[in-house]
Amino acid sequence: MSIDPLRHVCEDPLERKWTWISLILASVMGGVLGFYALASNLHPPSNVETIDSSRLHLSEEFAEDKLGVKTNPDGSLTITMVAARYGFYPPRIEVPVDTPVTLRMASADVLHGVHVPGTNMTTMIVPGYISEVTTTFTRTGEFSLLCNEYCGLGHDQMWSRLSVVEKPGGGG
Amino acid sequence: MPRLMMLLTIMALFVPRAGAEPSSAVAFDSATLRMLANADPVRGEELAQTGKCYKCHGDAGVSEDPDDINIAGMSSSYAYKQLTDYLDKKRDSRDMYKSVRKLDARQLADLAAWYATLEPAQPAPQRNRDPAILRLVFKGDPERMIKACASCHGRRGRGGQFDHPALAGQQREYLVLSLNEFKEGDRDNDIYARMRSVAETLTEEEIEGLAAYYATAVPEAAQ
Repeated sequence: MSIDPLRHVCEDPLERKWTWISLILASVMGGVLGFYALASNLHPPSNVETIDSSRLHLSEEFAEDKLGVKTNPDGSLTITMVAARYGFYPPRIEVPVDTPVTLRMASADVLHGVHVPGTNMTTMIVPGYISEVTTTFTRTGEFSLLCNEYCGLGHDQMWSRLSVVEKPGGGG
Repeated sequence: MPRLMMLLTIMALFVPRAGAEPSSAVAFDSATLRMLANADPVRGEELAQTGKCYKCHGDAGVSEDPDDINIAGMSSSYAYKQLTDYLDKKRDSRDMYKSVRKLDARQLADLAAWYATLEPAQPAPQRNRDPAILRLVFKGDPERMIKACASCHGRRGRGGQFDHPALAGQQREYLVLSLNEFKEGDRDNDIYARMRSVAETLTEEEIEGLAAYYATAVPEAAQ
């Protein structure tokens, strides 16, 4: 500690000591986060598409009759959903198990989040942007889509149902 | 500016019809919000007089016929949306369509701004205190995916943002009528079916109970 770089900004040795402790703690925590992100191959959804949230129901993709589950030519599914205080619309969706599902979601009002407990499906839904996540649901059953970003008085009631069912034709 | 607004309204009417049919052509984008903020209640009062709105909605926006909605103190954004929906035939009412068909978007905003300045009717002092109804109002029913009324319409029923109307002090009959219309799908100008999805799971008793909770006092003569 003979040449302390913090000497130029801080006179008091005790203050410098605590500054060092804080810096080291922050670096260790950052390192742990970075390590686990790399080791588990975690990555945030990187889709960036903008949309006017105030005119969502008048848009092409998020028009009221365009919401729900659609099958793509390659057999994968696209689910178009809107998050609006206080629910996800359509409120009930059904998808087959072990099938790649791309969720495309947009907010009609404020910041929302969506999380399906028991699965790895989670994303933020930022007004003005389209959130896109691709996942595969590996267990059948009834799941909930929950809002996990505080969005207002009814935040705790903002949820809808997701049913994961056997593949048609008994493929599961 | 009025011409531009009219043009925008007409365009808004035609653009969605090319594709799907949205439940409302009103969007609370910055142009609409600016128009509502600049609306003139004085001009709105003149329009209300010439349009004889008082015949159904009362001199001060509180109607005498319990089937007619109280519009005093209604948020201007909600009133503007409903008036536009009547004009666009997104909300079905011959009388209201006839009343608004000659008005442009700015005049509808003025009208909405005028009624927003009036004192709303008060809810009845003895409200429905049925625990099941209070639970619906403040907690909702997660099993049926019913959100608490209070989460959108405010803890005191004074309404929320944009298209979430005040309920407190409304006519009981009107509330029953509206909830039944949403339940049956006769009224479908709620964007993304947000009210229909709630109303369709309510029972007749719950509709009556909720209306009794929010409604204004019944005039003594009618009791």
